[in-house]
Amino acid sequence: MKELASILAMAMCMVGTTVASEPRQLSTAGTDFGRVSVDALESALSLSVETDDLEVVETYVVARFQNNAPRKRTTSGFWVPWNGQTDTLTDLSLQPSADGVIEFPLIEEDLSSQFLPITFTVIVRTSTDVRWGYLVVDQ
Amino acid sequence: MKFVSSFALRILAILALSPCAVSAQSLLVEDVDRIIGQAVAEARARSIDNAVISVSDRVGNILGVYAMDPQNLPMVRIDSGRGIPVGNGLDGLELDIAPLAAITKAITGAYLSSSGNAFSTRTASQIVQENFNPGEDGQPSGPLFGVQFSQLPCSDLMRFGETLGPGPRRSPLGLSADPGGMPLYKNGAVVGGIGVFADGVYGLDRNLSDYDRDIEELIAVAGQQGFEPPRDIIGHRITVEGKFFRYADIDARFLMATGAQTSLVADNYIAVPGYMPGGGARGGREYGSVLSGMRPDNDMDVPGVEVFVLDDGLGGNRYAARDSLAPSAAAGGLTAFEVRTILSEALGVALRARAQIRRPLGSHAQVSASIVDAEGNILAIARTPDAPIFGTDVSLQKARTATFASRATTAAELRAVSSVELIPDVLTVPALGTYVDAVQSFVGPTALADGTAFADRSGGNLSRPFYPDGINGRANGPLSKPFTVWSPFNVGLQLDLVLPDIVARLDGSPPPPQGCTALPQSTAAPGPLPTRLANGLQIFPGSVPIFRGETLIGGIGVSGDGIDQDDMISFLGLHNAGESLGTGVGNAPPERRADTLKVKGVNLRYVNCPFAPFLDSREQAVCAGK
Repeated sequence: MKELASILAMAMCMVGTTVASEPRQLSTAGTDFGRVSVDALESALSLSVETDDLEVVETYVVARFQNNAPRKRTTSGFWVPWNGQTDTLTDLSLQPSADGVIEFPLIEEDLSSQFLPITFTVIVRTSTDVRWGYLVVDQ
Repeated sequence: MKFVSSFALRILAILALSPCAVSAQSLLVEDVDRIIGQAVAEARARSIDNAVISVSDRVGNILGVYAMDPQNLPMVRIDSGRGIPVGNGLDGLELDIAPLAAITKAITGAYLSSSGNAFSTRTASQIVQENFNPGEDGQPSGPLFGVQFSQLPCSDLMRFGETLGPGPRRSPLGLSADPGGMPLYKNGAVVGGIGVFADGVYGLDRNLSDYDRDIEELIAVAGQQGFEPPRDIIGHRITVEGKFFRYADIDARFLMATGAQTSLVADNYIAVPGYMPGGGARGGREYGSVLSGMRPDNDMDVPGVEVFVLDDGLGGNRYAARDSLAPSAAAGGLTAFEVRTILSEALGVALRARAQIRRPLGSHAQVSASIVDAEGNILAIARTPDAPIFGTDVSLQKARTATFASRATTAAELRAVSSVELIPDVLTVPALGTYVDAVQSFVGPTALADGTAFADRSGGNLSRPFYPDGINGRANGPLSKPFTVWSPFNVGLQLDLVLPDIVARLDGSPPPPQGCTALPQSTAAPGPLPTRLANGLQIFPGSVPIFRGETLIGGIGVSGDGIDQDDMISFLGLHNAGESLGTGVGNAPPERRADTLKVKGVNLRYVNCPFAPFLDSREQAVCAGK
């Protein structure tokens, strides 16, 4: 069961496609989830991370399109400029599933006309700290 | 993709409001074909059959890389001409990177030039060596000593990729000093550059007393026909320190195939991973448009002065002024208002300052300015409309360098970077602690650990192959390689910080999200955030650290005109902003500045401002006592 959870922890869930990676978790220093190439950026893409027994208070997603300034994701899926201050991030109110996994939405529409690669940072605020990890997506 | 604001409307608004300060021009596909066709004709006339020719637009998009013989590309031997053995930085390496060399030379021609000055890779050669002019013993080093390691492929600022896009775009080898890279103009506006690699050597010109017949320069000048700069702004009409710049050693009179064009073969337009898809030429971006990545601000983010900002390609300002991350604004860091004020004051000084490197005489300086916080996070970037493109990246390098060098943690953070074996048994980058040892032996045991405020000029004093600068025969500064193995391809700490990143990106791969160097990343917020020097170190003047009282809170860097002008714009701009704000923000306390350090009997320098710098007043010694 633990192994299955670990695999789930870093499953890249795409419509019709799942890309597995090293099972890792978010950390206070930031976890590098590596670089992933995907053929079809028009497909939905999400990132599942394992939260163990963390008490999740808030969840956020930030995207940086190539070397542009970062943008934060809003609850309605918009990407808006982010000033880099943690306290101005928008809580997506994502909650872990029964097995402790949070699925962060990353891509829901065609991004092929945008500036690649995209660095997605997923962030969890717990009752005691802020944990995060990042994944680079390219074609 | 969903964005809150309508970018289409923003772009239309920006276009409608744009002043015509910079003539809107761009290279068309047929222009690129013509330029390359002319270059190939000259190469053939000179029995050269395997030249590689590249054309870029002004913001660094590659518009064509043409290999006369794609199956027989020349090898590239990086060679300073000083006989330095392999194993010393880039010098002496032989690599299969001819397209990258040609691209670098094209970008250099474009990036160093503007509507007020036309410079070439030969000009670059003149200004990056140990003496200015090269070969004149006893003269200080070139004014842009170190600029060759800017625009790096690992930078967190430069854009990248094969798709045509907003600039500024990265350059695979930085800037080139190898003759054969020239700017391209249309109707007086710089629209790009041409770079030629053909002779097997990626080097520089160490002897300014003669006039070469360099085959690459001949081919580049042939390609440039019809796209030459206005005569008045050509480098050899511009002086610095009383010396004329060298633009080219030949001109169109030396060409063998004047006006001729060769029919081009589509398959010879080769693909260069990370820079250019193959199969044909493409047109460039019009500088000043949203799509070029540099467009007028129109008083939206930097009010009160006419400036350009960097656009994200979608109508948004990439680096609109924002609050500091480290330290946070609440903890004493810069607020967005303070950042905006410093930027406006600095560029306001630039607009009053008499340009050093521009024609006609009486023009004001054109520069880029960057502001960072104490960990190198970018707080704002803006530029005057016709500032040379290279200064965008360099101003950020300068801002970060002054900030990094002024931290009390600099020594420890450098010591944490281990030695790297790049090419087994051939090339190893030393542990960076060796430079800390050298500085502390040279300057004092607490150097780089006591919070002394270093302007880029101060750090540059320690980065020359002779100390004091220009006194040939003296030992090297502690951040430089000894002169026996020094060259512009093996300078010391500046290169060793980024050499692994440069080598790793020779395959065209994208930069890491945190940018260049193995230094610590900012930890101010969830990242990845930039490393302390995420676009590399810079070692020529034009930046100062920013203090609030006794506390280091960031840095400002300026680049694009003469180095004394760059010094003044950063130092005086910050001073004026401090006076205006009254919040304690300003230059380092005088007793903290590096010019209080007497090293080997010589005080380091902090800034050096021009004596009577302004177009609108006779004010003198404008930085004195500030």
